Amino acid sequence: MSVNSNLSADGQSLTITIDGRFDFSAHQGFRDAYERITPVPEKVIVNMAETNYLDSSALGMLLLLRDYAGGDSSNITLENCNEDIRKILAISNFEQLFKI
Amino acid sequence: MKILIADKNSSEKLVLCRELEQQGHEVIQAETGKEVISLFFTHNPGLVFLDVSLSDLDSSEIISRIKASGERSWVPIILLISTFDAHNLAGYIDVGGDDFLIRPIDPVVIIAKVHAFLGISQLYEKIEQQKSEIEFYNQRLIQEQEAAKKVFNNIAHRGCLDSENIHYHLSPVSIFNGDLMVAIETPVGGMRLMLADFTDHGLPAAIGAIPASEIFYGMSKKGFAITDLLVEMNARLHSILPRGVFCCLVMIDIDVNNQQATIVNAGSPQTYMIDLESENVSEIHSKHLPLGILSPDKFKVETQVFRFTPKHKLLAFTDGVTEATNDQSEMYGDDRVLDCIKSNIHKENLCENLVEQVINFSQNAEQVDDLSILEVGFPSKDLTDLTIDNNLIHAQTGSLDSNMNLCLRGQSLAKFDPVPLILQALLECRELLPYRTQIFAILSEIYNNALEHGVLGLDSKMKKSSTGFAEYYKMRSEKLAAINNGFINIEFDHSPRVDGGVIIFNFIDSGAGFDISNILVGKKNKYSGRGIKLLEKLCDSVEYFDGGHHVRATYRWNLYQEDLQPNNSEKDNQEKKDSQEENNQEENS
Repeated sequence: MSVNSNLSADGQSLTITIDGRFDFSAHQGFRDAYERITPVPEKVIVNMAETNYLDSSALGMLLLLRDYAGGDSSNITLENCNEDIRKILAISNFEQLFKI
Repeated sequence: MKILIADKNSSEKLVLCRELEQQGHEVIQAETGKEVISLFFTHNPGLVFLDVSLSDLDSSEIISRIKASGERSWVPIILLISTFDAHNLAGYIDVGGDDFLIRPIDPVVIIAKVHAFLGISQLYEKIEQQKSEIEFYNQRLIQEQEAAKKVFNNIAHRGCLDSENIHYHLSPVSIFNGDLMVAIETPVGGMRLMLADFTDHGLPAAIGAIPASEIFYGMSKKGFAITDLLVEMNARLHSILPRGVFCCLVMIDIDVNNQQATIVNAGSPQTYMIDLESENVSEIHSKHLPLGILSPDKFKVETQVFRFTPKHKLLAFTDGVTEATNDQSEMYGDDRVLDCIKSNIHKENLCENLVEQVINFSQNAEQVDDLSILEVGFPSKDLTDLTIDNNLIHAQTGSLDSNMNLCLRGQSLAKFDPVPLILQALLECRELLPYRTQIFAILSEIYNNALEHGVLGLDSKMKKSSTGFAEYYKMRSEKLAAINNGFINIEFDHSPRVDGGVIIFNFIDSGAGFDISNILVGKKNKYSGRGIKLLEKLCDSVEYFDGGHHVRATYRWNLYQEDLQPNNSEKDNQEKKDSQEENNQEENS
């Protein structure tokens, strides 16, 4: 499990990549990936191409990210989710809060 | 530091002692193996120099004995050996020797070693201390979790989870993981259930569970619909829970009178609706975000309504079931659940079967104890026997002589359910409390008819088929959302009599009215007929005016006395017999 982040040149777009299991152990890494970035990026992309597992603490972390990125005015995309992850996101109706 | 030296060579020993004492250490001398051991235990030195060629006891034995005693402290043993003994060295180190010095012994080296080992000893002590602290906090945590578990248990068992029509499984780990299961009988003889999964576990989960269950029990008792309940619950959780903590739940409301179940699934795995007659199993999926995430102004409840008869069952569970893994890291998954249901569909206790299968599946895996499963069948309580709460009598006389009028117009009809409010106003008169259930039944029956048939113009004949049923409720939401004109006027007039009172209800709706004659005269319309019959049974009289869009119901009550029979008791028994016969006929036809 590892978290990597990549800020675009103009500071407007932040991409966070999660490899492996996205669960409670990713907590600190995930927060570090976005918290110290000011100003808050316009757009955030969470790339889950290599993410094989998502649980409710991960959902909580996504909510925290959303809060940081502006809450209702945030623009966060969850990319490359595999079938299992899509399913979890569908049950929680997270498409109401994030672009998937 | 206290140092124990055992050396056969007395001159070397003397030199050593002097050096060490000069450094400020306290030295204890031993000459035989036995002395070493006894002096070790009486003086508790921090370091031991051991000559391996002591005559009486085998050095390995001495080392083992010393090391065996050191559970909470570590005493290093430095072996003094000559080159002849060097080949045994490995053996001595194995049994616990920590270091060695080859003779002749250089005092400078001794001092350095002592110093080094002193450092290590201190490190060891620090670790022991931290270990104690960790153990202490761990104990505290365990106690807190025990407390949380007790809280959850108390919450769950306040309701009617042990009713005949419910089978459930709630394992201790799942309770710890934030799963909450509650059930309560609703004022109209129906049943309401909730299976909730709070993120996080232990005390943080309990924090959300307490207000959620208070709202559940409190509002249900007062007759609020689940829509209102969920709005309130979401608002409360949104304000209390920290960001990132939320509650996935499924709520089921069973209306025994109208034989339907209303279900809301917010973030929970799919609930299964099982039709025992057709053996059809349908899935009810989550249509909401879990509770506590959306702010009150953004939260909307979407209910799904289904026919629910004695030939139906509902099955709900939290994600512990589908996520149970075996040692090949496979998850139990949805397909297996469906298989299990289909192959055990007629078993009395489906819940138990599912539990068994999940446990068998993940036999060798670590934790399969995280299972919360709820199975509900049609409540077996005879609805015609609307009980009187005889433990609710108070002496005070309240609003015995009163009149209240409420008119709901346009969109208020869509947004507000006045029944709990009216009920509360009436129940200010304490003597009415034992009849709460009956009054609630009357109020909601007439109001729902006025709203659905009167104002919205829905034809309850639609509800006959199962597709028609879903259509009916779809149309109901659509029409309700589109309401512009239209009103319902509710009035009650409560006046005292010698030994009780009379309440006259007048409901006027703006609709075209409905054809009462169809319903009253023998045309058995399963879904609407029941309600009106109930009214007629409970009330002294039910009158219809203006083509049916004005209903007047007169309810007479007597002061409740323990030894006296309740209202209409003879009428009750006769009606019971009649309706039982009817039910039999309906079944057969």
